[in-house]
Amino acid sequence: MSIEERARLVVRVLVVDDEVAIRRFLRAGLDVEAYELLEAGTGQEAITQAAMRAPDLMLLDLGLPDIDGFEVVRRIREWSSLPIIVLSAREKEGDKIKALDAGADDYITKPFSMGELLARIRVALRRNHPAAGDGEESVVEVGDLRIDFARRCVALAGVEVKLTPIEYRLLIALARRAGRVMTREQLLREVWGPAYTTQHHYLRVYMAQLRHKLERTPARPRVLLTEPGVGYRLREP
Amino acid sequence: MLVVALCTVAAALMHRRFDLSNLTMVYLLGVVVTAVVFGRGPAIFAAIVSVAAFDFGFVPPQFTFRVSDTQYLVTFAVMLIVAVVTGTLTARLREQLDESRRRERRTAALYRLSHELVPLSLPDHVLAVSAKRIGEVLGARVALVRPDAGGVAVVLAGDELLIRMPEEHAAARRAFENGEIAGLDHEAGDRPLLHVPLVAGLQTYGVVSAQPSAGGWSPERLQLLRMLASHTALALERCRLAEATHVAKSQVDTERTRSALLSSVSHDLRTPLAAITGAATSLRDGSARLDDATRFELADTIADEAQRLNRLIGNILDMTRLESGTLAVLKEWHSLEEVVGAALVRLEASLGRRPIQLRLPADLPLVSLDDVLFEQVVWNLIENAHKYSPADSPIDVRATLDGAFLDFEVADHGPGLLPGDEHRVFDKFHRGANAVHHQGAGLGLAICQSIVVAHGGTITAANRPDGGARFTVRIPIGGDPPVVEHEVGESAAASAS
Repeated sequence: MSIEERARLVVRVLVVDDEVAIRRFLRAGLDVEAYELLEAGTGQEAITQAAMRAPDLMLLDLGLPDIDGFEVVRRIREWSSLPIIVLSAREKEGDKIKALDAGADDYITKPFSMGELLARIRVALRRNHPAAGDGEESVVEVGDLRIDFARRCVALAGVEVKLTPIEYRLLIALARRAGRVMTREQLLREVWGPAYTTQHHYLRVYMAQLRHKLERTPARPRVLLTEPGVGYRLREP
Repeated sequence: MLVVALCTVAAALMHRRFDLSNLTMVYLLGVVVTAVVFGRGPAIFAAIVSVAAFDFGFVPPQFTFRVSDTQYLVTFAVMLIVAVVTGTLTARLREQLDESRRRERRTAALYRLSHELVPLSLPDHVLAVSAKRIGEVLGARVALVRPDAGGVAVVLAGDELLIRMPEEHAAARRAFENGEIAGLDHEAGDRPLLHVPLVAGLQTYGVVSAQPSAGGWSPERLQLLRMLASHTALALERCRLAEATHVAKSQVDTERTRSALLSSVSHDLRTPLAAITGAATSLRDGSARLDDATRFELADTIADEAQRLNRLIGNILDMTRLESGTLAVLKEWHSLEEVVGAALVRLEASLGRRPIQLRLPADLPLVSLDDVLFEQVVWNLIENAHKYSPADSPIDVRATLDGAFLDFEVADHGPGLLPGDEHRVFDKFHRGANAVHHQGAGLGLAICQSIVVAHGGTITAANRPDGGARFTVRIPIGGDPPVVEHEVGESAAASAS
């Protein structure tokens, strides 16, 4: 990587979609936000571009003409931690999970608004470029909720909330990736261990417990969001 | 011979007290008995032997075949004729009796088979029942086969090991192709394997291959086999016709649904498209002359109408997938609260400040359901309530546990349903009278119903006594939810502060 490239402030986004119309509107929308745009129409092209032009983020459509989208994710993950946001249709929960488990950072369902997409992009970029001086983010604040990793302390509107060890680990797992979706398998593996990845009901019981402690109206969550068929997401701070 | 010997003994005992003419009667009785028991041939033989025995034993001079008085020759002749005629008649009577018994058995067997085949509508069941019955009735090993493209007889039902030799496969194929019985020509031992085609109408459905477990192919047995085969073929034909009728009927239904869908969809798709096209072209062509407020309004129209289109297309796709059965219901143990929460979060933007009164018991157990599909139901019901009631009136969402069932209810404070609409609201493309001002293809509730039914539940609509519509979903909880162990060392002390 050359010095001027390292120094560049412009964020490069690689858009991978075989639909010209989608690329066109993304170009328009991202241009306004001063992102530099790279485009690819096939999976092969996407992998080449990702290797040659060092984008900061990739928007990847799963329905590519040549390679399966999740296969693109898998191959890129062999050598790069480039943030990848998957674009997919509503009813393709299985594909989303596959792509996320292969290492994609997040997904967004087509059709989406530009605002939603920009929010996802910001969250995904934050992972790779933590704000200067922040180092490891030690506090996450979402609405009334404040999670202090260093002090292992969770507070709601200034009042400390006591969590069980598993509840705490579950909350931390979500908070570390605040704003991004985590699949059920990822959460189960991280909180309970690899032997529990199919025990989805554990998640449901403990997420309910967490919501009852941290949400004002557990059936109308503001922070601990469910993505049906996929996983969970802590609302973006 | 034995009968004649017995008669001779009996006649000898009677000799003292009876006339010789009466003794001939004893012999005649013997001939009749022989005819009844052994049939015509033995009866004639018995008649001749009887005459000889009578001559030898009783006609003077006794114990020689010589006859002293010539009138006895007449007696012999008459006795022989009477014996032969009686014997023959008796034997024929017996044969007729046997034949009618056989016919009765055959009719009973056929009746039983067709009686058993009538209620069956699947060819596989017909084949299985037929193979079993034909085997029982004929006392034979039976297989129902169908030659494949390579000429190998594939066993559809019955004895898998019956057809083994290549020439047997070839014979079965011949029977199938020619529509004629095969296996009679080459006599493979005394128990040949026969192949009778299952022909009904213009179709050959397969071949019955049968080999008697004992005895050979008597004409009756062969005929019975043919008749059983033809009954089986008729039953198979009935299955095929029923299936064809069913397909034709569902094609008509599909056609009707499709035309309703097309007329509804073409209108519902074109309206937002027209708005989008209009707004977009205004933005493109007149952008210099438009003020910011107008530009924003046009862009807003495009966004809203596109969302409406997306919802409509989603509904049509869901409906199609639900109806074609390509949408699998993946049940897992879920918390209803979480599913309701997901729907409410997804509705957040459109609900705005609308009050939602939630009453979900805290102790609801996990319920076995497909979260993606059930969230769709909750979403549709709440969105429906939102659409059909005044913007500031609350929407009530509640759940109750009733034994092994979960009742989930969404109620609004709007004008409610028209009388008679309680069932019709779930029909595809039905739109309530209050729906004139609202968009949508009338698919949302139909989709809800399909999903709920796929969960083994019911959905009902009613008006609340104090006004407004109420939709109730009732699904089985699905047994005992799995146990989640409590954390070691954790207790009530760790509960929320």
